[in-house]
Amino acid sequence: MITWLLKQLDNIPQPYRTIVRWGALVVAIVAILALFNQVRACGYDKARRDYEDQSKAWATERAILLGRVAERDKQIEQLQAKEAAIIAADKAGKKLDDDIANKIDAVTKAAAEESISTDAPTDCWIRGDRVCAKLRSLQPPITIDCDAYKRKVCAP
Amino acid sequence: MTEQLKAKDDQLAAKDELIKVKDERIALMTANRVDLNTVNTGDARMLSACESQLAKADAEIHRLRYPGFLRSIFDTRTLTGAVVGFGLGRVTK
Repeated sequence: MITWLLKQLDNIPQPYRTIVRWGALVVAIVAILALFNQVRACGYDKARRDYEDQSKAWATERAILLGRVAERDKQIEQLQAKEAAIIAADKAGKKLDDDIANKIDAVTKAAAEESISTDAPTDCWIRGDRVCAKLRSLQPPITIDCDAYKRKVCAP
Repeated sequence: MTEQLKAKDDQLAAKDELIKVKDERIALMTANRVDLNTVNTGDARMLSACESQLAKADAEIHRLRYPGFLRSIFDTRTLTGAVVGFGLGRVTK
């Protein structure tokens, strides 16, 4: 192929032969540079795609982890409210029979739901206030001593 | 006496319950801390990957903006300009 091309080139009269040779050289250089450029651009595009894939995967994993954390926060709120109820029951000298325990469970669940639906990272004392207020409004079978509860839960 | 003992038993039962609740809370908080640590580590890793990607993008922009002497001579736009200029020069001669 190359020999045939060179033969054809020899058939071209001067000065056009020189022009064609220079033209071919320029075209070859342009092609080599374009190829080199393309290879580098491909490397960059691949790195970019990898980064985007990694970023998307992490966003999904992060959302799952934060979802689990939020779910546990909800349970923690519930336990915190339960603690308040137990402390109150203990202080009132009331035995936690099944009936009272069930009522407390229902009340603490409602308190946690309420607390989580309006939740933002808050100070322990403010959260304690919120839990107590909710518990009180739900009228549990025992009297909640909010100050004692907050002292107990939030004391350093 | 029996009543006092019963009252103490009740108090102990309440304390046991409280300990159980606190244990549960501690377990949940520990799990949360582990997950949040994972989130923080992942965020730091992604931040570093993002910075590296930005550096690569900067290098790519620089390469495209300043292609170098040889590449700018043999750039197709330069060559097109040269051919058009040559043609116009011949026509207007």
